[in-house]
Amino acid sequence: MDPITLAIIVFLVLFLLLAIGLPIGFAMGVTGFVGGSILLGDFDAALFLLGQTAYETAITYNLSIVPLFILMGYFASNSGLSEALFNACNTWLGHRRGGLGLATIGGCGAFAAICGSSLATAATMTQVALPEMKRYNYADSLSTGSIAAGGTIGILIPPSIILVLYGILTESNIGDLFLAGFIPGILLVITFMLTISVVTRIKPELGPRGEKTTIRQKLGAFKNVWGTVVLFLLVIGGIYLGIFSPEEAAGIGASGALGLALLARTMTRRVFVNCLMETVRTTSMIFTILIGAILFNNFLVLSEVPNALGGWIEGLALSKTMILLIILLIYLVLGCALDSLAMILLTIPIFFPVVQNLGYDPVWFGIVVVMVVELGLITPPIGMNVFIIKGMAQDVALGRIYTGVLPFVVSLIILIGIIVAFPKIATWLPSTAAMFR
Amino acid sequence: MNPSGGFLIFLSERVTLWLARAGSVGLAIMMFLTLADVVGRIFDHPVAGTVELTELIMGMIIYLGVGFTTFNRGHIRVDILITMMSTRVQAALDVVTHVIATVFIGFVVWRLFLQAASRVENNDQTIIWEIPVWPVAYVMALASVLMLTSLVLHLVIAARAAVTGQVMVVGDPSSTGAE
Repeated sequence: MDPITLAIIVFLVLFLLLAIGLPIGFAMGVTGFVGGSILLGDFDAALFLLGQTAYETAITYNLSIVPLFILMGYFASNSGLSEALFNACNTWLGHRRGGLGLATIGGCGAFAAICGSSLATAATMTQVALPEMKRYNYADSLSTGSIAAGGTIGILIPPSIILVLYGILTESNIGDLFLAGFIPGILLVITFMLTISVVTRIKPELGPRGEKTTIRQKLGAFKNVWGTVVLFLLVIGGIYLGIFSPEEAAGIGASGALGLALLARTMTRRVFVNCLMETVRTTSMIFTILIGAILFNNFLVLSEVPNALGGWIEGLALSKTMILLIILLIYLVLGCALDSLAMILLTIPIFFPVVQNLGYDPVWFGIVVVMVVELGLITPPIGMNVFIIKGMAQDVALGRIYTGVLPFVVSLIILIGIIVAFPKIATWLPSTAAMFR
Repeated sequence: MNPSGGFLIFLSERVTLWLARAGSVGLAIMMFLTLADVVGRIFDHPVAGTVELTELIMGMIIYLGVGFTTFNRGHIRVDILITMMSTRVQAALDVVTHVIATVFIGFVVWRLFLQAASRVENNDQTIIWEIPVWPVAYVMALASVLMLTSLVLHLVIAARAAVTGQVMVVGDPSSTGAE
């Protein structure tokens, strides 16, 4: 059998296994392993590769960044920092039209700076912001929509678990990826805030103004958030200046978040143990997918499918931009059915070589992919962020949340277009860091 | 479920939980180790061998935790299609997927033991502290057995549900083991 036919069969089997509910890591692992052993024509060699991948992947230093940044996120989520951030933003923005919505987006953006997960950002902000918005009679659509959208910022503003996995898979510099996500992340915060302003200008009753605050209160609000600012500057500044590696930054970040929680007196022994256990559980889950993805990737490399695919695409005589748009469109469709993490690990081995062949910047592509993944988090039928909020606000209908999210979907698509048109927005910051290294 | 089955579930739950707890201790050590190394470096006293120690701890965290994740059904899967089917069909599909997963992980576990055995044979050591690697490799292999037993357990539960139509929920994906 020629490798391309085999690859097509393997892909079909993979999708079948995914559809009948085999966990993603096992599905990629088993298809990659079986496909690889057929291609190699040597079962013993395939078995050896299986053992080596399962062993070596777990025992790689660079991958210690994964559990440590996850731990940082859990410490941050369980320490009441999100509440302080939201309150500070509310003091500054609450008196405006849709003020609590603006504060939610601001709080999400700030929280994203110490947490690398969109789901965690959405979950923790729901606890803090939703009751406040209910109190001020915000429309359910606006309140849940702004939390769902704001939560997605978690994976764009560094640290970001998705960017880490992208970096590992594509062998790109994780520090560069983090820095590249920063400016687009800020722009996303601004875009979402503008969206709320526009929506509440058209329909002011959706988000009434809050109380005015004095300058004194505004300055006082800093008192509770300086720690978060310092931690972010320490972690990302350290990477920027080349003082420590991203792996070390993760360890510093986790210890720092623990320190902040201790200072806020919200860290009990029980919370500490829970954070560790949740991190161990999540890490094992991610590594199961990662090992599966690497086995599948091995198979793809053996089959030379990415090359063939690249050649085939070149033969289509489409413009570079068209090909990119098609790839992004595929992401959008896959985002409807797949979890964000799985989507990155499944698609990057296939699309990355194609994109690289076209001469696109790998770091920039990483940012664009993350933004498309963000879109997948808030679009039906599987918008994980929407599900999280639905789970925590049972009385709000799912359809209402999706309605509320819609304006943000539009503005996110516009911002993706801007980043695609002007790659420098993403690549400029990492390029300035080069002089410190 | 008969009492012996109940006992096996209880045993799996306890063993995977305690292994994951051991992994979480490793995680805490890894965090403080990195912190100590970076802070120490500022004062010209980095912790020697941080990289190799981190590697050994990483390997153990992953496999100490994976039994717990598997027991608690914590692996991500696409459930958009299967949730639309009857519980009976879902259980039948669960049987199929668990058979595939069990066979595949069976190979993985076997190969992890062979990896460990080859570390004994070659007497692999870390570079700086010259720590023998084989005990860590055996911890990884032994802990991975719990992934296999958890899969078999869920396979049996799914098979019973497919036959009797009665679903038994074992494991909680959001569990941290806190009472």
